[in-house]
Amino acid sequence: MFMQMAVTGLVLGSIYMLVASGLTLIYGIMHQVNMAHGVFFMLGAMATYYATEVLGLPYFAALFAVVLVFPIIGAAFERGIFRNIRHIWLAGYMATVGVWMLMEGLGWQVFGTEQKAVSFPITGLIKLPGGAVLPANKLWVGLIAIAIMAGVYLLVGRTSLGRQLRAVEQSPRAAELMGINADRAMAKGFALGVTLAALAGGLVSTLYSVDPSCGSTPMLKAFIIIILGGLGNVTGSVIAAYILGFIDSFGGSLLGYHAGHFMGFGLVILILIFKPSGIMGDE
Amino acid sequence: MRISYKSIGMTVKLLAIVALSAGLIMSPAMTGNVLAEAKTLKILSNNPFSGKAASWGFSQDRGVGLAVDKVNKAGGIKINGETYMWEKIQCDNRYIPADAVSCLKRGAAQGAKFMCTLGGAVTKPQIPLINKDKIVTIAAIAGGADFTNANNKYLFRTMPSADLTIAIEGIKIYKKLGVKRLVLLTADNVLGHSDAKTLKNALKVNKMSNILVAEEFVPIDTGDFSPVLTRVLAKNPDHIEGGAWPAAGLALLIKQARELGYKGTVTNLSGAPKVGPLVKIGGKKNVEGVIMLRLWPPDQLPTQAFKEYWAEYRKLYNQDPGANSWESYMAFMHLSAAVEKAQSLDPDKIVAVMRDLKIVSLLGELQLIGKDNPLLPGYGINNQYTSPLPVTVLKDGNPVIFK
Repeated sequence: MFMQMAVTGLVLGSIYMLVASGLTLIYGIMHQVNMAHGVFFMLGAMATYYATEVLGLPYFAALFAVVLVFPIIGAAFERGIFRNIRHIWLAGYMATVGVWMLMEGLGWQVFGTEQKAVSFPITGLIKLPGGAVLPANKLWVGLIAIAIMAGVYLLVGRTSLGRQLRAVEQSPRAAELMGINADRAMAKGFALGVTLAALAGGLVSTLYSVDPSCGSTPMLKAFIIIILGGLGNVTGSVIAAYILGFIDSFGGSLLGYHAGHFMGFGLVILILIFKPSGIMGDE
Repeated sequence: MRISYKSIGMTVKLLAIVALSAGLIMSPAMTGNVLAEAKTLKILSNNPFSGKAASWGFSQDRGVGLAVDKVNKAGGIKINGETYMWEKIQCDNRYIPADAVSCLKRGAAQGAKFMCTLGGAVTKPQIPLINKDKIVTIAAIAGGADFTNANNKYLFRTMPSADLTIAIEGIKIYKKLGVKRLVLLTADNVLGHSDAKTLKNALKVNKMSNILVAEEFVPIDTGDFSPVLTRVLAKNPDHIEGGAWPAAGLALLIKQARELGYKGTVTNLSGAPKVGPLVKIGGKKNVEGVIMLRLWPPDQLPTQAFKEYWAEYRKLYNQDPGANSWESYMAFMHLSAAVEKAQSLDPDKIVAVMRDLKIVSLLGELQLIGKDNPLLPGYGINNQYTSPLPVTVLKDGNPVIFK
């Protein structure tokens, strides 16, 4: 049972990490709490569903299409809604709440009420030492999540775009004085965050069911993670995601669902009491 | 005088606004006096139209909608020489108890004296208001005497209660399957806990309490069951009772249990999930052999009227109807007939007529039971609809009658 709990914790942690990555990035760059994060997760899941089940595209081609299309959607949202109000924190926050409510409500009308499923092309069961088992689809989703996070690290840490994003995150005005177009950099950052949310939706949709509110629970987890990890800190989010994954697995398996849930929130409260900036956040 | 393009544009906009306003004022929705003149009986559809339980909500709403259309197309109902037409008004409660209470208040303020709703979890907090305002309610709720009792005389249960499903059919099924180690893994809401209570009582009465090795309650919107499944599968169950899951929840539960190596049997005795999404999300192989109640195989529909209902539903919504739809359809037809027979809009007179009225509906004779019925302990009132209860098992992705 220990091995099974550990494996489940690892898989859950990887999934949580992926779901939280876009939210972390958007907060890190724009200092904007994006309550519409779950909507982009849902739209990514829906897009994957329609691409695979309706248009008949192979699964990985559908994911690639998500990567191509969602930067445009993200940039459009940033330009159309958030750019003009991002200087007023509360207005930005309420705008994202509005987008969340509107898109979820529209989703029920457009996509219908029947829950949908996306098939992952790799199936089967992997037997591990200690009697633990790991479904192949979960293993692959976990591995892809890790690969995506590695890509995000490289992009933010080693590329020109990453340098721009980091500069804007530190001070948009100073970044502009250095010749960086802060508006454009923020739009790119927002588009990247939205694409990560959509990609998470496309991947996680193969494990669970898809409906217009399927982004709400992952968004809640993502918020716990970014608070626990230190707002906007990508490394902190990764650590927090795995902590939460292990708590959910060990707590849920040993003490029952609610005890696991309580432990997760309890830990967040404790950390915030003793280190309000989160695990890796700056004091 | 020079006329600028700007002023032409402004004039066009003003004319458009005037025309739109006139249209709105002339529309029936805005002419309160027109509605007041038309004799209308409003039934509130207080249902989840979004969230994980939306498939249940739409199912009931559509069933009642079809019944409303049928009665209205036949000329409505006549009370004391006046014709009344039914009007269904909707409110999305998202399967959240507080929202359901708000919906009821809103519906009552709009003049609804009748209501259809579903789910014990969201019906329970509505009961004080239903009783206070005498809202005649048809509700798809499991549970037992905690809902259907002499104190709740305006609340009529459209689906078979847990005393009929779990306590009678469930025990028969467990015996037939030879269940030795049973796990109850159900939704953490009023319905799930009520089902658990009924199950434990039934096991006790049948001297089978020892087979229940674990009971777990998780939220109805749970996506990942792995932790709780790791916990319950450690007890080596040979049977999982799902209780009251909608299709997506049950599908994920079964799929993830199979992924963790569970090879035993599964029943879902209260939920009546829709088969299509259950098979699609859970996977045909995983859900093979799942046993459920209240689902009719499309090729084994028992009456011509039911076949016609099925075909009409399919034509309108391009999918098979769920149990909530036909059960609510039948209950509404019964309610409407009772209102006409009572020749009164007094809720007390209507419910009194309902309790004794028998009608022929989709599945044959429809009536209310509960009073002095040894199978329904503590009910004390005829507020439980009864109709044939099929037991089905999934074979190759399709429901067939379980023998």
